Amino acid sequence: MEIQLKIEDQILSLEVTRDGNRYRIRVRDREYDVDCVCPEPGVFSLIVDGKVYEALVSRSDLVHTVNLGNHLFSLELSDPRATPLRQRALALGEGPTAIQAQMPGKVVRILVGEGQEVEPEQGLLVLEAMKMQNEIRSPKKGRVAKIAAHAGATVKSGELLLIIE
Amino acid sequence: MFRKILIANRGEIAVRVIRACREMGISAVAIYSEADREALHVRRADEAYCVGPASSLESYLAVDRILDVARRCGAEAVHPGYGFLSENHRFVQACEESGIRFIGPTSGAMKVMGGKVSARQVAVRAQVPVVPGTLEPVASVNEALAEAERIGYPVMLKAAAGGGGKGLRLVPSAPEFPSAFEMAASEAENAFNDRSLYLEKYLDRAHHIEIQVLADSRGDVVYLGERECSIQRRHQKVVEECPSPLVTRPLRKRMGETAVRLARQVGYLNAGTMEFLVDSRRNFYFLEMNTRLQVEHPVTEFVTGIDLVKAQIRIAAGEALPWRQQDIRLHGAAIECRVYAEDPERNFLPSPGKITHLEEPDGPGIRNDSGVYPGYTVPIHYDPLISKLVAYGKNRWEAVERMRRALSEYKIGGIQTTLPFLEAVLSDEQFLRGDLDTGFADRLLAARPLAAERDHLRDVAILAAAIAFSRSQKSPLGSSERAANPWKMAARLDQLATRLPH
Repeated sequence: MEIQLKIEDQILSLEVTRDGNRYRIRVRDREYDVDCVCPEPGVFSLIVDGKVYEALVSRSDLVHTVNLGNHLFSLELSDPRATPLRQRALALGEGPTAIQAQMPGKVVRILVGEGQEVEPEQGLLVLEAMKMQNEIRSPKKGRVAKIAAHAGATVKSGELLLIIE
Repeated sequence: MFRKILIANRGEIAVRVIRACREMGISAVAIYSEADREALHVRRADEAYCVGPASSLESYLAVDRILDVARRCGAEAVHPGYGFLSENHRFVQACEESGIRFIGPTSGAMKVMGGKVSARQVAVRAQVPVVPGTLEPVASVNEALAEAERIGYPVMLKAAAGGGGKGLRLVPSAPEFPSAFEMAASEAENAFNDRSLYLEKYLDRAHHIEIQVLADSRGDVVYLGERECSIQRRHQKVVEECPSPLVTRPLRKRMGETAVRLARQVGYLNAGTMEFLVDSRRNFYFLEMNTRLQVEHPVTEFVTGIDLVKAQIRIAAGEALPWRQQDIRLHGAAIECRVYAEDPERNFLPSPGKITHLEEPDGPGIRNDSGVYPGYTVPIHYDPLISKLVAYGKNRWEAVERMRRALSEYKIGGIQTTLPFLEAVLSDEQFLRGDLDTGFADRLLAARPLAAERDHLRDVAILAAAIAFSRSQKSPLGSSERAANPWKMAARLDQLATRLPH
């Protein structure tokens, strides 16, 4: 099957074919031969070039969280044939961009108003988690289309904060 | 002996104290905030009472509510753990006045030794060498500047009421001084409601080494060796070990006897720790005293064979120390790693959230003091410590090997932790040689030891996610959630659609 994958602002197209526990995965010009079993729910034991890896995978909607060697990765996966065009445009950074909470926390301040023009790296709002305040910045030039969060609100990881278009 | 003890804390340290209570046949009472109903310490306790909302000011720091719970449930003693109220002499005094035994020093001794400036004055009177600096808080930025000139740069600005790395600033030279002074003072005001600061000379490449003492109500005091705590980030310890690779037998004896003399000077009671800076020529300077159980106490427990929490409870109940100094022996070596829900690749940003998967290390010589379980959500309100992983070996080398093995077994899914950083520390050549100083962690991080490993694992993560996704799409009929439940699928798509702009 074909998969569209987004990791750290990079978008990749993958081709996966399966034969029992063997997977052939083509990423750009490379092809991987992976042996994979799932001994426990959420645990993927992979053998790649003879090396053993254990990945812990959890997902909510399209976002897969992968823990590998205690490094955490967040990936968005979709089947390009099943995904609406607008959403693909979103993933590609065109059109509106949804700003989501990267971690659970509390919205301390909102620094912009609806309709306001913003520059890349401009502060949008301040999120507090574990006594640390972090400024969430705009990924691009655009206009604040919608503010979904309000000051004082507790938000979950992945919750929509605002939309830049 | 007490029949019931209230533990005025949360997380792993509350679980640790509950374990000691259970071994002694004492009933353990937990307190919790509204955010902590599902916390492990509540699940492990015999009784548990909610003391207020998530904010620690209204729960774990609410003296009146905690004492009210203690009275109503019939607890005879309170164990404060570390942090929260453990070094608040007003809380100790409130316990004393309501007839509830505080498991720790008296309020008087805590007040003298808990104040950084007054503790330095006591040390000077007891002829204990202190780090050069001021013996009184500095009144103004101008006075502080003059003192800094006298001591010589670099200097440390420290909050007189300080602790936990707050209100601390390293000032390399005079031009940076005024703004550093202002930042340290306002941080101190926020954290401790007290702006006063004092000055110390910053000792470059020094070891941070501390001595554990135990004192009973008859005035007997013993020291239980040292702990090497030089590996720190933002003045918070990350990796600790016992014994210190720097400390020789004669130095241990001199530092230990100094710590005992200080404890006697103030009539200290129960467990306490004297912190020292030790330079490369093995000169030591008193830094401050922690008038409570330390986070890193397990390394001392491994090497001395003494259960410090049980010793604390026995001392508080009025029992005499069962050892004299010559009975205290150190065997082998132990190392502790503090595992935090923080992202070492993003400047240690907190990474709270749900632990989707948990495999804890065990096997020979391993102890993991943990406050979490699979499915637990690390809350956003408190310190992000997940567990303290401790390894013991017949010598430092075996302890290091076991720690490295245990770190490789430890798997925490769903949140980012500091485990990769700890693995980098434990494989660093300077660390392996035991060549430690308080600048170690910053130098290691500047070399970005995790970047290459992460880049490699990133490719494998892509493969794992692709496989997981393809299995969820194409698994045999019936077992796939999507195939089995079209209603749920439709609802999800619906939900997704509402999150997209029109």
